[in-house]
Amino acid sequence: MGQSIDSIRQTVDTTGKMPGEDEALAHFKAPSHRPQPAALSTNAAAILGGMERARKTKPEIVATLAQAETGGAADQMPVAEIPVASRPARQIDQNPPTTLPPALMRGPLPPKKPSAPIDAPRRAELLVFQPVGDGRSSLGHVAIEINGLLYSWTPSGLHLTTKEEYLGENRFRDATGYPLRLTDDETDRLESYVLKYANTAKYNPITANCTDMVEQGLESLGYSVGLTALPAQLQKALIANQLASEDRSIYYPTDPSRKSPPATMPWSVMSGPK
Amino acid sequence: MLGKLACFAIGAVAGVLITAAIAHYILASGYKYAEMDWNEDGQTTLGEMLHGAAEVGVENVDVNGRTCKRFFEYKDGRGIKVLCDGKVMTFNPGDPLYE
Repeated sequence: MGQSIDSIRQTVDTTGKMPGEDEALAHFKAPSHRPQPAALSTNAAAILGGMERARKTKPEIVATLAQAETGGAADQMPVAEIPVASRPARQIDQNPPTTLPPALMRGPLPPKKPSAPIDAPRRAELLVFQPVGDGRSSLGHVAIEINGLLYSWTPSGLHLTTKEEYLGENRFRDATGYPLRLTDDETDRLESYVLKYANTAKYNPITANCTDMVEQGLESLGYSVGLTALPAQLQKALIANQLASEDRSIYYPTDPSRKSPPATMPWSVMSGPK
Repeated sequence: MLGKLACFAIGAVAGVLITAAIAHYILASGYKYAEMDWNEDGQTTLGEMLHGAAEVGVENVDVNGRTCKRFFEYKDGRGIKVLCDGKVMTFNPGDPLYE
C-alpha cells in the first residue's frame, strides 16, 4: 500500500528523466534531516520542470513529492489510496522566487537594437551618481527621469521628484545624465513598469537595488541589459546596447564650494567616475 | 601551555590592530565625538561613529549670516542636523536645510 522513499528513489533512478526531482529526493534520504517546508520551497522552482514532466507520466511520484513538500511523512504515506485527480491543490509554490533578478531566472535576452531614431527627442534620462563615502553610497547611485519626473529607488522606497530638485538634494556628488534612446511608447511603458515595480518590490541591496529597477524596466521592453548590480555596470550596458551614448551624456557637476569626499573603499574604484 | 600563550598573544595583537584600525577610520572622518551623536540622545555610540565615518557628509551653510555645519546622509542628501556655534539647530522636514 504505502510507497517507501527507497522505492520512489528506485523509480526515479531507473527512469532517469527527472533531474529536479533527484535534488528533492536527496533530502528524503535521512528523514531526520528533512528540511522544513519553507526551506524546501526554495527548491520548488528548481524541481518544477521535472515535476511538470512527471505529472503527465508518473502521477504517483508527484503525489508523494507534493505531500512531502507539505511536511507529510512521505515514507509512510499510502499514496496509492489517494487519487491524484481528487487531491486538493498542490501545496508547492508554483511561482518562481521573486528575489532573483530576471536575467538569472530566464537567462540573457537576445540582442535588441533600439528602434527609436537616433535624433528623436528623448524623454527618459538615466542619472548615474558618483560613489561617495565608504558605506552604502560608495557604489554610486542611479535614478531615472521619465516624462519630466524623476524616479529614485531607495531603501525607503520610491523617491519621486523632479530632476532639478533631486540634483539639488544630491549636490554633494557629481552626476552624469544619459538620455535614453527609446520610442515614446517604450518610454511610457518604462514609466508604467517603474511605478509597478515601486508598488510591488521591496528594496534589497543585492537583488532590488536602485539599479535593478531600471534594469528590469528596460528588460521588460526587451532590451538585454544583463546582470548589472552596480550603477557603473548599468551605464556600460546601456552604452553597449546603444540605448545611451557618451557623446550625448550630460555632466552635472557638484557645487565647487561643497565638499564631496570621494569614496575610498576598494570596491568603489570599480564603479567610480572615469 | 606555550601554545595557549601563543594563541593569547596572537589574539591580543589582532584585537589591538583591529581596534586601532577602527579608531583610525573614525578619527579620519574628522568629526568630533559630540558631533557624531546623530540622534541627539546625549550618547555617541560606536555604531553612530562608524555610521558617521562611512555615510555622513558635512558642508558649511549660511544661517542668518552665521556659518554653520550641516550634516547630511550620503544616501539621499537629507539633513541630519545643523550645528551653529556648537549648538544644534532644530529643523523640520520641508525645511531647505533638511532637504
